Amino acid sequence: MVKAQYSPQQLAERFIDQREIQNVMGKYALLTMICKQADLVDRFWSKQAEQPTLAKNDGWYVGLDAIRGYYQAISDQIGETAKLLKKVFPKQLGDKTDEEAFGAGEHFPRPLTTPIVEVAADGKTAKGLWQVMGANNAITPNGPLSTWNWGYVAADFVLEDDEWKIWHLQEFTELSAPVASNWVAKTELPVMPEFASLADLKLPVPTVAANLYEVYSPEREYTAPPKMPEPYNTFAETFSYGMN
Amino acid sequence: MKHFTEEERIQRVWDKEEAKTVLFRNMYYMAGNQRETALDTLWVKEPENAKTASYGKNWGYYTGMDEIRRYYVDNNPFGAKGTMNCHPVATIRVEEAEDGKTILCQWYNASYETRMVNGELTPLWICEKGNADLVKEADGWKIWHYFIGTDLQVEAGQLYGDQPVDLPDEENPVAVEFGKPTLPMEAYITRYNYYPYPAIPEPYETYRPELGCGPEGNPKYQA
Amino acid sequence: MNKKNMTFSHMIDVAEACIEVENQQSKHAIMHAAGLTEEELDTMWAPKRDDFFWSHNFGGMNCRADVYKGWAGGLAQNAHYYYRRLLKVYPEVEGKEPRTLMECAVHMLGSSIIEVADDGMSARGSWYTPGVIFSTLNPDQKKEGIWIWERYGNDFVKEDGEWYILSQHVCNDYGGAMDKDNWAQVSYERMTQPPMPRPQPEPADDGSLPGAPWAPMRLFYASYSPVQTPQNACPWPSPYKTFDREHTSYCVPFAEGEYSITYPIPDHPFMP
Repeated sequence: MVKAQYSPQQLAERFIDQREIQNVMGKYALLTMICKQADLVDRFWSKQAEQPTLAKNDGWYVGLDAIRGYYQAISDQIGETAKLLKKVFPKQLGDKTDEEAFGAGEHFPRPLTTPIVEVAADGKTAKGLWQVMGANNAITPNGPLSTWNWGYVAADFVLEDDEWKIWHLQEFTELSAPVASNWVAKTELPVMPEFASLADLKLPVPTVAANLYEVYSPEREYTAPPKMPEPYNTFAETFSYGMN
Repeated sequence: MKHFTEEERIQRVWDKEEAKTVLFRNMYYMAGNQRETALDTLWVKEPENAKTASYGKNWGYYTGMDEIRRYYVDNNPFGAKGTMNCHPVATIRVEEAEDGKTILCQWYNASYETRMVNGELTPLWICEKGNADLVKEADGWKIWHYFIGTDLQVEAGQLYGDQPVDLPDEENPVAVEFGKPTLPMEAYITRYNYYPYPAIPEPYETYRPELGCGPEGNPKYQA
Repeated sequence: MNKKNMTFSHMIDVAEACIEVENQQSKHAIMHAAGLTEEELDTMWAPKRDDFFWSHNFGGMNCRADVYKGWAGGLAQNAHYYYRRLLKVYPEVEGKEPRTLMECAVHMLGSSIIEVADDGMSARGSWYTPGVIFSTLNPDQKKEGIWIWERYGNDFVKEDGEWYILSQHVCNDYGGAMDKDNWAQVSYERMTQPPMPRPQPEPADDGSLPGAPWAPMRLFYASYSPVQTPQNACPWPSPYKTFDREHTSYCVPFAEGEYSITYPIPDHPFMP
């Protein structure tokens, strides 16, 4: 594809667009960190685009209901964890309501780096790719645990009522291992009885199960990050981060 | 400070954005084990630039694109099962010359790699101060000088404090991987923590070696 | 920001502001790595204003003099103490800058959110930073390295055509020995096991000691613990018209904003 030539006015508009898209993803990362998963779909996702998708390592959540269901399940897990923590730590949390204790012990930073954002020449869609220096600090069946969650986020965006909204999102974890561990030699942690019941909390299975991105293991074949966005004119001319 | 028209100002904004994107693409090519593609598409091609291109680390510089290829492509330690790398670009600072011909960039990263060290697949954390001088060629901004100052490296799960203060190069997996550069020299020193080379990019009129991250700007350089 | 409401000139101003704000925050990180806090305040912070603000979990400093004293002065005092002890073990460091010798605090800036005021005279930015602090030479002759994870909220102002920092709000979440401490596990152990006695710092040869953190404003952020609920003491910047220190700034803890936390901050198990 021949790279489009832009007028100064268009260049200025395109800068604002790509900055706003970075802001959207920065906000997405912030709400993820502070346990506001239940708000993500209503705030950030397109309500009009055809077949929105959320891709995780193990498959596709297709359509807003499925995506909302996935995030709501995370939020429910956080809520259930808080109820358990109130029992385990009655001195610190026992007098709090479930709402007040919500999110205790859970912190999910997603520092987004290395951004590549390409806005379509027609200004209607955009694509972005980020590297994520992430971590999950959470209450697990093994007790409170910090776990690396480094990987990549790739997204298609649509301009909807003058706001950039997520259409397709891929959130792939490459490095998932306890912080301060050797990720080549797999770490086995004992289950702690007071937290064992958390193992019963499950996320909904993807709408379409697929091995989209394999988490690192010493047995993994070399695996590249998601494809980089390239300059494009209209969405029909480029690849999609959605399910084909 | 030179006065720029509005049209020049927005072009300079995009010059900087494009230069950053070149470095970001370089990271994804590196993580994707597409090192040759990175050299072919993101680095300088014009003969004079190719001749003076450099890729440096703490132990010196590979100079000229042929030598850079010898290190970066021919001795690539990644690609086998169980290997991987990720060197993000964060904290980036970017300045364009008033003459619009060059751009200086500096960034920080915390990176991870898994590769063979002494015959064993080894997980590493590596923290780096990255630098690049980019030059405008006919088809866009290209990497001309590239310098990675390694601040620390430690095997994942090992206490950094257990590493000898005077770690011999032959026991440093980053030094071993860098090999014997074209221009060996003590190019980046972490014994006293922060090292002021390469300089922090500041507004400048036109390129001078001491502003950039090529070997000639290094205080230890001897012609 | 929305391009529909902007003229061409305005968009250029905003674009330049976004790049300069990121450049300044990155340079702050580099100067911090070098330990040159006074130099940063002298050259990168708003020269025409005295209403600086800098804060960390332990408290805040709400004017130029307090920021010099509490932030730069605190680091310099610790560096002096450390230098005196280091000199006894490594005479080679004599004459070198103590603040640089103490540590190299490197912050990777991610998840940037930037808004430029409609009047173009200020900007606000927030970042999340996984960081690493290392030092090669130490009095115990061992290298030191730690992870440190923090959130930043910054205000910037434009003076005579240049962008300067006015405030920095730092919220530290956790950190620990690299690569040996699992932060959540360590935090849990501290909650559930008897506290280890803290060794008293050994005075340096000139009698100096490291300084206790000094801040005239109260604590307003708590690090991670298994019982700490989410805090958003750095709400993201929303579009705004003009700088207002009381409402659209990071100069006060818990500035108004969506998802800002409710006061007062929850009690923290490790704080008195």
